[in-house]
Amino acid sequence: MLDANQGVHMRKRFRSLTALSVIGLVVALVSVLNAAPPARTVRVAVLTPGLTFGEILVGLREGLDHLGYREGRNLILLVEDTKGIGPEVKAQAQALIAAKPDVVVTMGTSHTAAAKAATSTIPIVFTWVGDPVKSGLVPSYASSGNNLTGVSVYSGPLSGKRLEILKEIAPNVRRILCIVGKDSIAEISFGVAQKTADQFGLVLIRRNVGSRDDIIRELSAMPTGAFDAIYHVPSTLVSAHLNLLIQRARQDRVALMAHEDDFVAAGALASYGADYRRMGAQTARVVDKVLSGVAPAEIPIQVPEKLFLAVNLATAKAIGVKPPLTILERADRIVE
Amino acid sequence: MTPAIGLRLGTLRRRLFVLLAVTSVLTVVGVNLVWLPGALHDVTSARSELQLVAVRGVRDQIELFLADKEDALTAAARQFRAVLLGGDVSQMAVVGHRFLQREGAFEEIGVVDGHGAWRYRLSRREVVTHASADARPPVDLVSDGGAVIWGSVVTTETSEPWVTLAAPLSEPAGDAFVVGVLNLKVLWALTSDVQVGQGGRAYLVDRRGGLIAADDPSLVLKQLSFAERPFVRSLLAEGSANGVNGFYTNERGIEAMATGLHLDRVGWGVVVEHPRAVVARAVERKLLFFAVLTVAGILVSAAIGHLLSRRLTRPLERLRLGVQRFGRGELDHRVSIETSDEIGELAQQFNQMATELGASHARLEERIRDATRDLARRQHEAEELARVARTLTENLEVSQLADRVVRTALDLFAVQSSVLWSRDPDGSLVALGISGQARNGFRVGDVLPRGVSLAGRAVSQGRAVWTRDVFAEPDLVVTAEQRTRLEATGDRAILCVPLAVKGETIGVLSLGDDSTREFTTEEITLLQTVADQAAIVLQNANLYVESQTQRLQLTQILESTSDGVLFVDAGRRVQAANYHTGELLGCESIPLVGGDLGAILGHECTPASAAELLRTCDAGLTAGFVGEGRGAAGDLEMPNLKRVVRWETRTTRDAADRTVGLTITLHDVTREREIAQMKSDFVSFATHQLRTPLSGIKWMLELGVQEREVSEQAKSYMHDALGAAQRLIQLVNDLLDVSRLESGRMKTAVQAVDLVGLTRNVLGDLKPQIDDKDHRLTVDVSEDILEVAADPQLLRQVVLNLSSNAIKYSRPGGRIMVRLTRDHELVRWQIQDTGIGIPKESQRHLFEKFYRADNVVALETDGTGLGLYLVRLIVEQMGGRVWCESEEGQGATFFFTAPCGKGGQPLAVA
Repeated sequence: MLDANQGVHMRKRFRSLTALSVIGLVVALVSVLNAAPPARTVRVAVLTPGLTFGEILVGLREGLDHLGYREGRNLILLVEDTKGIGPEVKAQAQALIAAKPDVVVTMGTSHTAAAKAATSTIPIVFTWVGDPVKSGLVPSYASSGNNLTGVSVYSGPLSGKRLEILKEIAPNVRRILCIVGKDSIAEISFGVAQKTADQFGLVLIRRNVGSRDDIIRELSAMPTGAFDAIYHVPSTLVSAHLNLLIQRARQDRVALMAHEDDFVAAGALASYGADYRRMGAQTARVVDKVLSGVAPAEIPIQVPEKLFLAVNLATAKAIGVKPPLTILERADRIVE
Repeated sequence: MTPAIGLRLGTLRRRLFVLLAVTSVLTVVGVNLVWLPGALHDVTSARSELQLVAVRGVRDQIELFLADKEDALTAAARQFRAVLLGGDVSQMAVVGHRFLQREGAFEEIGVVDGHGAWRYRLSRREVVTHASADARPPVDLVSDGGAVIWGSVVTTETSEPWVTLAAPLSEPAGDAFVVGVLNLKVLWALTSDVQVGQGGRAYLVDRRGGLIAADDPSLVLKQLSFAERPFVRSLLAEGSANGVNGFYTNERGIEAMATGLHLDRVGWGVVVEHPRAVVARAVERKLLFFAVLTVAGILVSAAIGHLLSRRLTRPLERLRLGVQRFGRGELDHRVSIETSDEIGELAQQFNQMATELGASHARLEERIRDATRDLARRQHEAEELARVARTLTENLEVSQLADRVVRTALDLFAVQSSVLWSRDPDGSLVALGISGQARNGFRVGDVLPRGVSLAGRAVSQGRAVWTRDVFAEPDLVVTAEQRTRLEATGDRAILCVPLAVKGETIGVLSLGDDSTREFTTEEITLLQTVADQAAIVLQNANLYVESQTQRLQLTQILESTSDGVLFVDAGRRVQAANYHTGELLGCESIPLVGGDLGAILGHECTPASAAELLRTCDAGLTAGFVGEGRGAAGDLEMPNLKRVVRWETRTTRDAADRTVGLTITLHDVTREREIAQMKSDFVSFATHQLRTPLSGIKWMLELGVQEREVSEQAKSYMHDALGAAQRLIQLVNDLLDVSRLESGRMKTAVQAVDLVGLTRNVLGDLKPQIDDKDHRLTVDVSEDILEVAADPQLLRQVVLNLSSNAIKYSRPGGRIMVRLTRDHELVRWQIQDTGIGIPKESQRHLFEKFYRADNVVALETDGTGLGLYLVRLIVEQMGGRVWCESEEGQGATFFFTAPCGKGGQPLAVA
């Protein structure tokens, strides 16, 4: 009897050993094959002046979609459209921050400044900011050192270049109307443009505005023939209502130099600068980085991936300007 | 006594087991210890080799980029030189602007004379004034035998790395140079996109160790310098054709193993690094493999030791058990004799003793057995029948089944022969199973013609037949061959019973005996019962063979296709899948059958693309059909595998037409998608590059035509050139639109559009052409027309293209009728002409890209075949449909529909 028991015992031990080995192998395999982390829903707030800035939002949506963020699935987009710029922007920024989003996207210098004042903890990704350093939003392009990062449109430093191009397209212009908004970027841009104007012997006619009505009033006050061209000084206010400047330039048959090519399609003579949609998509990539856990201070400020030169030949024909071949050779877009 | 012996046997077995197992284990461990160090060394050196290959790849791409930029600057230098030699210095601006338009990576271009002063300068960002033109370029302009000179990398205010390079203006190299400023940001895409293996990355440093490009551009923007790394210093100082290897802790605090190569052209270094942990992981895997192998070896050794020890002690164990059983009264028990040694002899003695005791015991029991025999026989028959039934259903292989039937019959009836015949459709009988003496005369497959012999009679009469002597049976047809076979078997008395299923005889079961005996009624009934059971089982076996054949054919079909095919049941569980399914879904290593479809797709597919297929499956399983019976299709995107798989699904139905699941087919379309994207990108790039210079040409021609000094003849030439330029621009515009629509990059602004007003506006623009050809035009609008939801610019293009075609392809004096009507929630627009019409065979290709009908090609050569294709793309994008009705020579009518805008207002029809 004893030896039979021993045989059975031996078999049992052998089977147990085999079973343990198999279980061990299975556990090891399962832990190796264990898959990716679950996706969570993120909340992205957008503070935008709306109007012409709508294309940046389109680019942002497309960019986020391309990176796998789908509205209604893993993305909640809270859009606060201020429809231009007014005194209530600060309150609107505070209301948006109160919704406790994962990240806030701001468009333009004024809106970024409003969001910065509203929070120092929630990450802010700005876009279409003319000169974030001189505007005092960040100390340097390399690092903000705070909760801000984003994409600069570089319109401040490019203001002189745009004036140079205007002079090349329309060599006869001398008196140039500048409608200057109240943003810091408008002041910076005008300063750069003024320096270039002095070098080229041009006269900049400055008119300060603080609202849409101001723009209408200042334009109405300028008699026909008082200026040879209009120069678009970048600011959130003027950019949002650029159609007023396009209308006046068409009416007076004078050149209008803008800084975004959508304005050229709408009737401006030329533009030199970034593209709304591309900027939106570029901003989406920064947002993705912030959402992946990188601190904004760790993400250097970017500039546009490409600068576009656009010329409207139909406008040129209508106002009697003959863009030289050199400009047409350089142009990225020609509207006819 | 017995327990003591058992204990000793156990000890002997254990000792043998330990001895064998220890020997085997030592062998396994020894072999592994010899093999392991070599394998670990192989892992480390393979990783170094891979890094060197990767860094060479990155180095070559950067070299290619730098050489390309050198070539571009050298070409610009030649152009500047030609301009300077020609004396028209103003043309330098044209060369400069053209250069910056073409070379997106350059920020600046300029010409510097022998005194280091700028003769010409153009910048993308800086305003060029006299002051800036006085500044000297940041590169040491010392002629180097005509080669391009590279300056130091500088970081701009926006933290981008720029480098200045200069190409000599004249040959042989003189003092003047063409200087370009290159934005090295372009290299970021290269270093961030390059794939250098798990956890690896590539980066580029300048002569001073400053970071130029890396996997994460943020590192460059932070202006990091790696000059303090001994590895980087060594790379920049010496370099080596086989690369410089080293270890360091990178800026992320990760221990890295790196390989670097020196870029001699510019003095920079390119590095590929991998976390040391990756290498360590490979070593760990090897060690794990070694451990698993050793454990497996130990287990196998233990098992072999166990088996061998059992085998060696088994004779003793049997002898012991035999004694035990004999002692318990099992007198017929015999110990099997397996050896001829002393143990064997002992077993033989034991068996002899058992035999004698058994014989004595047997005699005593004989009488009891006789009394119970009759009862036992009946019980035996019943048990045998039950056993027959059980045995026959154990196997569905026909030949084995037949064999069992005849063997069972032989055992059950104690006769010498048994044959199972299968009936062929022509009535002949084929031998399926043969046993006993029948084997002397018959072989499996032998054929018995219809009606021959006693088996043939059983078929024709449909009942059991028998004879005491087959050779003396009157009226029995027996062929000579059959007689010979019967004689060979020795059979005389034969009993045959038919095998019938549902009234149809499918075979015969026969018994044969060498005596001229009579078969009893019990035997006949019993054989008929066996035959009935055999008939059913035989029928089932035939059906089983048929279904197995069909299943095999289906499997072969599924496995022979390169596509994946899988079936899912109503619970979305995979019921069957071919091999390619696992391959396409990146799940070769896991079993698909029985798995949940969602979990399988979750392995590699993006959540969105997987969710679309799962939604379609759920909807199809709930509704009982997919896509209104036409099936549905979509794409599965697998970014990790860089693969796109097209799926199509349809419902699977059973014989009763009930939906039992879904059939999903998978087809790898990665290559097709890549080619389509490349094609679209190329067309977009090429047309954009064409359009800008064309607009310049047209603009200059327009200016030229307005010049007073130009002669009339020259103006006429310019007019012709202007027309050609306009047509070219139109073609390029069409190509651009097609490219954007196909890629989905077309900017659209859908709004409520007054289609009637838009149509009248377009026809107004076309009035000169209509008047030129003296056409009569009528526009008919029904009163209930609403606004449509569309992009007005695109809709205008549709109306313009269709109207232009009607005007162009109608003979002078033709009639053109435009009609707008309401069709529920759609507006239908149609244009009818009296033109040349369209041949029937051309009509179905009419809306394809670059297609032009034969009769149109003969009439007019200007068309591109893009207009109607563009119309189709636009109309389909806005949710409408376009088609055409025509008879050749009798004009054509083109239709399109557009959805009414939400809350659309009725239009005031003029």
